[in-house]
Amino acid sequence: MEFLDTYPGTFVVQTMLHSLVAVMLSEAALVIWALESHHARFRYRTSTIILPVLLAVFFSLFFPDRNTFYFARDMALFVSRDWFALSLPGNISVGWVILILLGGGTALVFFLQELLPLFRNAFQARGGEPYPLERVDPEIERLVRDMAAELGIQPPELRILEEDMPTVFTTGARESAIVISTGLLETLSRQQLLATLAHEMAHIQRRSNFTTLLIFMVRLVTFYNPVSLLMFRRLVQDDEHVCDDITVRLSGSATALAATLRLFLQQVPERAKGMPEMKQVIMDHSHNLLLMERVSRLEEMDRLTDESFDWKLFLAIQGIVVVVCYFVI
Amino acid sequence: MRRTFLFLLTVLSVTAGLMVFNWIPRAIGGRGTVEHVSLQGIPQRLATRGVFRPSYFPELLQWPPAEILTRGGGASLLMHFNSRVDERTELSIAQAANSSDLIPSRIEPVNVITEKRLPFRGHRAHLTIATCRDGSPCNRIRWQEDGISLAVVFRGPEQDLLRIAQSLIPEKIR
Repeated sequence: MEFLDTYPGTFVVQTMLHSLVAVMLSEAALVIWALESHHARFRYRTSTIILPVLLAVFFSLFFPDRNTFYFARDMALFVSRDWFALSLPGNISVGWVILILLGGGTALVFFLQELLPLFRNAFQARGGEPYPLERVDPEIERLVRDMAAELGIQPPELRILEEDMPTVFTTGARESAIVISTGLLETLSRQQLLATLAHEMAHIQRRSNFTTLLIFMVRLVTFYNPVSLLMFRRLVQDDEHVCDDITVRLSGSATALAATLRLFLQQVPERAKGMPEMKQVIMDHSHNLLLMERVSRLEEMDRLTDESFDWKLFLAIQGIVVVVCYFVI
Repeated sequence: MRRTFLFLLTVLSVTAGLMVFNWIPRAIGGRGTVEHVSLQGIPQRLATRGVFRPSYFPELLQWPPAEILTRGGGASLLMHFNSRVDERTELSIAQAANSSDLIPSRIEPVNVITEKRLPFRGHRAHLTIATCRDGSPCNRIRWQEDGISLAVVFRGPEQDLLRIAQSLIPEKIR
């Protein structure tokens, strides 16, 4: 059990346990207080990723006695060490089996699905020409300026990507630009284009690129944590929903955005030949499921959710999470 | 109010769930530490093998032990002795088949001043002169004798620690 006696060992085990406690209590709070706003859900789910990391540092600095035998015996609610001491036939530690299966599996998924594509994109982007700045319809530019004013942001630059595939995204964490492909420009109606631009500007207003990057950096430290993996994906989806709501508020039309999103659905073949194609099918299917969820939500939307956020409740819940986690070692 | 009550119920459920999962490995593996009210209640094999008790015992300490812990069905034993004055743990005597099985003491040397090896009771012992976390003296001596690992920790002078440890005699219980 020497790994558990080291700081990295304690960090790994306790962050996994604390994030599990944080998720259970946060998700319960979301249900009990009927917090339907994705804005609220985004914040609660972000805290389930960040708080366990902060707690690991905080507890080890200010409460070193938590790791002693007598704290475990007299005060702890849960002692992970006992699970590592429990053996299966063949002298295999139950705790280690769980840690390797969950942590190792998560690390593999994180590396293959998130880190590797990130490095691949980074290498491909290097040395590439910046997207050319082209003027679009002056009327569109005026509406973009009006929407930017309403959102309280600088009007972003609009850049064109010469590509048939419908694509749109924001670039940059500090100074943002919206990149839109010629394929998408040719397909969208004026209303749909406005909805698309409004959605991207909502991301700019929310500093989505910067926030997501920050949270991703925290996730790098807890790459083994399955709870972080799941929560990150959910909060990315929540962020999209929040931006969808902002778009509806700005453009006045939920259906225009829904129609645009349908354009991004991938054609998924019925049968896959071989592993690479199977992998692509799974990814496209998953991509479509997430998009269809947003489309359905927009098409069925009869009112926007209340965006007010109860900070007192949030802090109270986090306080309770901290207290419970103190007794989990 | 209803929502607060529901949430508190959730917190209690999560807490209870953690406690249940905490209990499982101890129940299955039987490796938990057991507390005994007196030395008469300790596992038979330990009672037969003998418990190391000091014949020199400072007056400031209370007898019988304030806390008696065994682990592994008697493979390890720990006794804590408290001060008559303030009930603080002042002395711990631990014995086990292996040094790695010694039950940790409530008083542990934290800030080491010096460490040395010395001949002790016909064996080589490891003496640690240190202070506890609160700054009070916290000296420890560890050695192996007849296949048993022993550790004595005392919140007092080095001479008293050595006197106590020197006076230990294995005594069969019942």
